[in-house]
Amino acid sequence: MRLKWLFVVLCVVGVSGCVTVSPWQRGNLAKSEMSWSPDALESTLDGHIYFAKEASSGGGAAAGGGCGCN
Amino acid sequence: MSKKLTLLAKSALAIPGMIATAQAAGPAGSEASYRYTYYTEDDSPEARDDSGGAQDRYKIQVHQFHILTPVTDKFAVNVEASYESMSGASPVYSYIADGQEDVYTHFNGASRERRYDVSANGRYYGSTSDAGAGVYASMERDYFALNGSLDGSIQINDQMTTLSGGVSAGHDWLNPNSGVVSDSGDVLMVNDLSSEELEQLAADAPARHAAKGKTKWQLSVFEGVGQIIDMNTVVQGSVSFTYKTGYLSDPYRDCVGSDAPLADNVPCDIRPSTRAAGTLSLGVRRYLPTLNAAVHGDYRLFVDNWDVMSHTLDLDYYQNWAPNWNFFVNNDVNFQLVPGVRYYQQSQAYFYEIPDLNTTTGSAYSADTTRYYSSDPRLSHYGAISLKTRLKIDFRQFSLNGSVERYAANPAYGFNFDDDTPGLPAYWRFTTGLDFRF
Amino acid sequence: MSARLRSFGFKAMGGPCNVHLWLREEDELTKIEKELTDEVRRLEAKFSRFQPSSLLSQINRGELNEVSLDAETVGLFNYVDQCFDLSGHMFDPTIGSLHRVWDFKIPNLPDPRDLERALQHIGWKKVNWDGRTVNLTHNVQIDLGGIVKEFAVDRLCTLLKEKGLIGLVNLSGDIAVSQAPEDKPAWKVAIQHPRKAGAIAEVDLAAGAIAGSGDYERFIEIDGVRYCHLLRPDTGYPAPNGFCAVSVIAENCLLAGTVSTVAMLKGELGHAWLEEMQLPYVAFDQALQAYSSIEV
Repeated sequence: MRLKWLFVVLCVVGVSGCVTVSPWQRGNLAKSEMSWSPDALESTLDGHIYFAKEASSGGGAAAGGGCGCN
Repeated sequence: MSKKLTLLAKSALAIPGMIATAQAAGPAGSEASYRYTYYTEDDSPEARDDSGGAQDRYKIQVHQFHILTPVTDKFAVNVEASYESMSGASPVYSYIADGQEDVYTHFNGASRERRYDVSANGRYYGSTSDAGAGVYASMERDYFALNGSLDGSIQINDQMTTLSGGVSAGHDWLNPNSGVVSDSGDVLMVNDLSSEELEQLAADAPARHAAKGKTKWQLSVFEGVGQIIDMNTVVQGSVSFTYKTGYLSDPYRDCVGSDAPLADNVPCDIRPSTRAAGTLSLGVRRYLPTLNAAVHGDYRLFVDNWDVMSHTLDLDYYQNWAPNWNFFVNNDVNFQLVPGVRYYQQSQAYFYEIPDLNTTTGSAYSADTTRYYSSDPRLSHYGAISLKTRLKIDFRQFSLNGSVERYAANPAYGFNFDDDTPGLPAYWRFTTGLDFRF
Repeated sequence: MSARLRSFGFKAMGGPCNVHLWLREEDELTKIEKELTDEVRRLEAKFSRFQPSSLLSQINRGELNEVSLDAETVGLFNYVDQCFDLSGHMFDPTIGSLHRVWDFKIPNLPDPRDLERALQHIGWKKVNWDGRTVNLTHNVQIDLGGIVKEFAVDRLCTLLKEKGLIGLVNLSGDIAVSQAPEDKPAWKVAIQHPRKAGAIAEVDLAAGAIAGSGDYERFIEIDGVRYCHLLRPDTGYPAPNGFCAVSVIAENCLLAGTVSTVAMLKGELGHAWLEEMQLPYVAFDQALQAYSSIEV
């Protein structure tokens, strides 16, 4: 339940206090280096290696599939 | 066009809002990528290796393939596949040897192993929403994992806010090898052993014997919210919850092999059969117009019911450079240099313990090891620092990629100055590859 | 249901604005009308030199000296900077002080001493534009009247394009179309006769924009010589022996507007400028002789 509560707080913090940025003002935001994970294969391998070497995994999306490495 | 007109037209089109942006958010073109990675762990510390000498630790070569292609203007398919081959020794148990104070680690050299995985997903793009479904399979000689996922996002609040959510489920099958090599040189799988051989295995390698035919399940959900702050800033927060149940112990962790009288009391690796984990992730992307650069910041908090709590902080800086010289302009040459740093820190699982085989202590362990126990360094209290640099060079519809990562884990990096954990890895990772857009 | 040609109009930026567009859904009209009007009002409020609260007024009062400006303003100033260089310093948005010494309501030339004083406050370089910030010196004032109307036409046209709509935007004679009309290969656009009511020519516009300048909009006549409102930043006078009207077709209205304005300011060299720019144009000299690179 604690996580749910955090989510609600995030929503409120996120929505308030921002001026509207029109679609034509979003050129910078649309650049590839501004995406959440600019390189898909690098993100995949990062996730795989850190999952294999550390006790934590996931975050940002639903957990991916496993492997015999952990 | 005359040169003057070209210049004038270019600066007119550079004004934000002069060009209509497409409403459908789906990918406009196809992209294919290949990456080759060489991963090599530092040799084990000689002084703490109970074999008495340094051993070659893991070396992995990874080939990755990726293709993204729009099928219609609203539907795109994304496929990733990889092939890994690995060899080298990995830590199988740690202990404080009889008559010693330091922690020693025992390594087992694995034969050459291979892993194949493939994932495919389709995504439908609406004007202010998208939805995707994907499947994933990973195959090893001794392990098979399947996973399916659904996710979607919707933009609200003048498309300033993106709400996303998803669910995934996976099932894994364990089929550990027996550590026994047949006459023809094949590594025998636990399932293939005769009943006599199995009895022997139960005595020699109880962890592998116990994992025979075991499976595990995983279910995961996440919710996220992204928010545009201004023309150059976007932030994101998300929470996820993952539940695993089944055989979660590591079948390749061996029991302490030692002549010390207490060694027999130490089990191999017994982890709880369920694990519930939650994450809170926060991210920010900020574009710096004057520098033509972008800054990425990501934080993840991970908490689970094994008492593992971890903090991960990732900082990356994307510096673009597009030289304004004829050859470079005519061929769309751009350079992007991306230095980054990652810091990771975790607390130990409640059942992690290094058994102390000194007879004087009277007991090899203090935890209730009849239920749960592990000396896996990955469950210890430690920290890790990783430095990474990537270089991307665009040339027409190609991008050449290269990256180097140095990673080192150490108890001290996690502000743990009391413990000694020799099995923690340090590695170099080198990646190179090519993207092709068509 | 097939699309129907709908229209609406409003007053903006000192003149009438008309939008014609093909719509399938009747009820979309009010929504689009509001969105387009809002966008023009936004630009008026931001770039008007008469509204004290506008961004431009703040800039002109020096309140934003050495402060990073927003991307849209940066884009417009970069464009101005480019125009200033390419036009041989003819295109200069700092000539505002000249309009205080020229009064086009009474047939008198300005006092040469007043003119001399006014010229000291003119010069785009005195704005010290560095690609990100300004630092106004010499009491210089920026007047974006020469480009904001054209930019507004382009913005409205872009909004139509983003919605996939076929339409034409006309703001006081500066025109842009999102694409060819549904029933014809091109929109018919009439060019105003410089000396009397009615059209002097018609052009077909399937895409892009057309914008024009003429000496007929505001002028005074003294001893048979016509002095129009298009004043040169170097002499403080309109260009002698220039065209009386120029219309240029370009991919966007901003480009068409500045190229035609510069052609007027260049005087005798206006024709060479138009030829050099290689954009389709129609121009008339004082004797109403036509110069044209296209069929009209």
